[in-house]
Amino acid sequence: MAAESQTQSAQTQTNSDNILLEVKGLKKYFPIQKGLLRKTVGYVKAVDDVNFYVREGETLGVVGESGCGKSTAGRSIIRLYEPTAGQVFFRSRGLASNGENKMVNLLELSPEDMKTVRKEISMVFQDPVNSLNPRMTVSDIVAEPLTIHGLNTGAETEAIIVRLLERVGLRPDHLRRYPHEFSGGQRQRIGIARALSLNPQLVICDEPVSALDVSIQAQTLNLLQDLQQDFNLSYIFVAHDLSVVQHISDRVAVMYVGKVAEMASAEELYSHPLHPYTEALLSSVPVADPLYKSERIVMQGEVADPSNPPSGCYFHPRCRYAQEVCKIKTPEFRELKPDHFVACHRAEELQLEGI
Amino acid sequence: MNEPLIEVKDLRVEFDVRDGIVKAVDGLNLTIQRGKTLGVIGESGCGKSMTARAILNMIPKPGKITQGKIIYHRRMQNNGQSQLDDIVELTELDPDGKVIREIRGGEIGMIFQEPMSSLTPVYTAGIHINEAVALHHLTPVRKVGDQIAEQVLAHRAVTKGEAREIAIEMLRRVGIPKPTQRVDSYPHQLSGGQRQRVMIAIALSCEPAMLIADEPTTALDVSIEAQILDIMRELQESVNMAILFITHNLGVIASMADEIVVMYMGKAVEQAKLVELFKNPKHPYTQALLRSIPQLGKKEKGQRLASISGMTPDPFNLPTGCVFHPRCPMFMPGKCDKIVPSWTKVDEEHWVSCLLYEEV
Repeated sequence: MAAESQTQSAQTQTNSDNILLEVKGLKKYFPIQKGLLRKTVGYVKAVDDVNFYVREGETLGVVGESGCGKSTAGRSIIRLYEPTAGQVFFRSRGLASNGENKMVNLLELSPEDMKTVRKEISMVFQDPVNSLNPRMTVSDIVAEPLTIHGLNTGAETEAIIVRLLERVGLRPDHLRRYPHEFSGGQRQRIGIARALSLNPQLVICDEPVSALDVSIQAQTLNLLQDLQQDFNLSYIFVAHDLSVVQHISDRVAVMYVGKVAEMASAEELYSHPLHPYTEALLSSVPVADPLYKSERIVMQGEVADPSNPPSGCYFHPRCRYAQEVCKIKTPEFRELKPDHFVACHRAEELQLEGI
Repeated sequence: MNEPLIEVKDLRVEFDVRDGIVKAVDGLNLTIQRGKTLGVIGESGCGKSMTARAILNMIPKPGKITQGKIIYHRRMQNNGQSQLDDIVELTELDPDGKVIREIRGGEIGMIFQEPMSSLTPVYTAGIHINEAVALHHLTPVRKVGDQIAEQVLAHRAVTKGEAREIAIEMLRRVGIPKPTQRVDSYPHQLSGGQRQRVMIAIALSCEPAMLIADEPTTALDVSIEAQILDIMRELQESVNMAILFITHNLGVIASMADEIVVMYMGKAVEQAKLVELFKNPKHPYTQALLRSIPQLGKKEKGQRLASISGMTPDPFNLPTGCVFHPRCPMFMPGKCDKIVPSWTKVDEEHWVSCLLYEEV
């Protein structure tokens, strides 16, 4: 018994050491420009002080309603959008000189070093139609990252691509075809093959299954899980569908108006939410069981405007537990239970309902 | 209690395109009951939206209805006194004629998926609703497709003040805050959820006997989706309206429908009452569909989803026999690839089209 608990605690220890990516205080503000001289009159705070981390080999789900900044957060990590402030620490294999566990801040890297890191972090996008160049063949699309990084060596590359395509469930004779010849699900497989061509450590999936039919969605989710095991991948899985995120994620971060409201393991977050927004969101999800009865919590009004957010806690105008303090003070994002973070003034006292 | 409102009988919709003929809907039968919600579920390309458009006699070219009937049990109120019952065959009406235009949008309301593209950007919310009211209750003559002419005629038919009052009242009913101000907003000034509410307000402004809702909440966030579904249920109760609810979202349909039809490649494969369909699905496709969605709150570590192998077949080159047989886990060689299954009653109010339930 004792030995067992010891191994367990040792495991948790390594788990917390196994952090692959850590985002600290990440901000991305888009300027609002008006008038002839494009004077900046304000900012859309798309990502506003976001903190989270991803462990090696795990999936972090990022959920939230449209406009909450989940996609912007994902893209800011690899500097597709240049972040306004913050730090993104990443354990890069390519930049590790002598020590294995060197974390580098991506936002301070030189362009050459950033290029090295981009081999290790790749993206899968939502729209399988628009994220593939219609004038390129499948083989060119999947080989493009290799070409860009100067690793395209002709015959060898072709063999790699064939193997990748087979791995994602496409046939080698698909190589010379164009994206329009494929269905949505197949195109998403091409996108996944492209993301894996450089053998990355971390894949940021931005709503990868939202545009797919139910049966194709299941195939794609299964494929992503298989690939994760085979290649020891870590995923940041950005999506709005809470059922899908629960299914695929080890841990989940819930975002609201540019901030992370809550972050915990998937099981913990769905069964014991600590943030009223998580509770309300969970209660709104339509459950595919006609006998399932839930007390739906009505959120008043709509998602706050990120260019003009409310005072204090951004969720307070829609929160049924809001008190005076919530209007004045911004709640701190803190670890209330081990590995369970929340930004709510009343998290200790509230008894919230999960699923 | 059941009283049919719309009966679709052996409907076939074909698209004659360069590569051949696609049967978007192939021999479909269904009945929509007054005051009830019929859910139609299926994946993209299964013909669910074409069925909705066929009812409204709005099949886009080059598609056409090549077979079947759509019978509409029309009930008209005459000054709130006598009731006039009539039976109209919708497919025989001139698609641009007077009768179908009275029915479309007036007696049968509709909401489609994308609220931005179904509202005219240069009209305010109020004008949109006025238009529906004016066109379908009051104006005897109008030109189709000419928005400006429509608008002018609309304002001739009712006084500006009256129409505005109706619009404000409808916006209030669908829960738009500050309706007296919002009535003068343009679509782009509203959020996605609000635009979809305006669409509902337009669809319901004439108190239709039926509402066709084609993926009405698909583009919306869950919190807004829940609000919209609540509004639809509320209004359904208050005016005893039937709803044809088309979606691919099994969660949404579970909270809305009384009865469900499952479609695959233009055909109905199963039909049953809501609970029966979810708890006792018969067709292998329905079973697979229900198993393939991740269920909220039910998670086992490392669990895989049951997926349906393969893809939907090429519509120009449909499989022989049962169209689902190449993907079916229960495939019976020599039977399923040869014989087309027929619509079989397996239980009270439960039909299925599968050879597993037929004596062959």
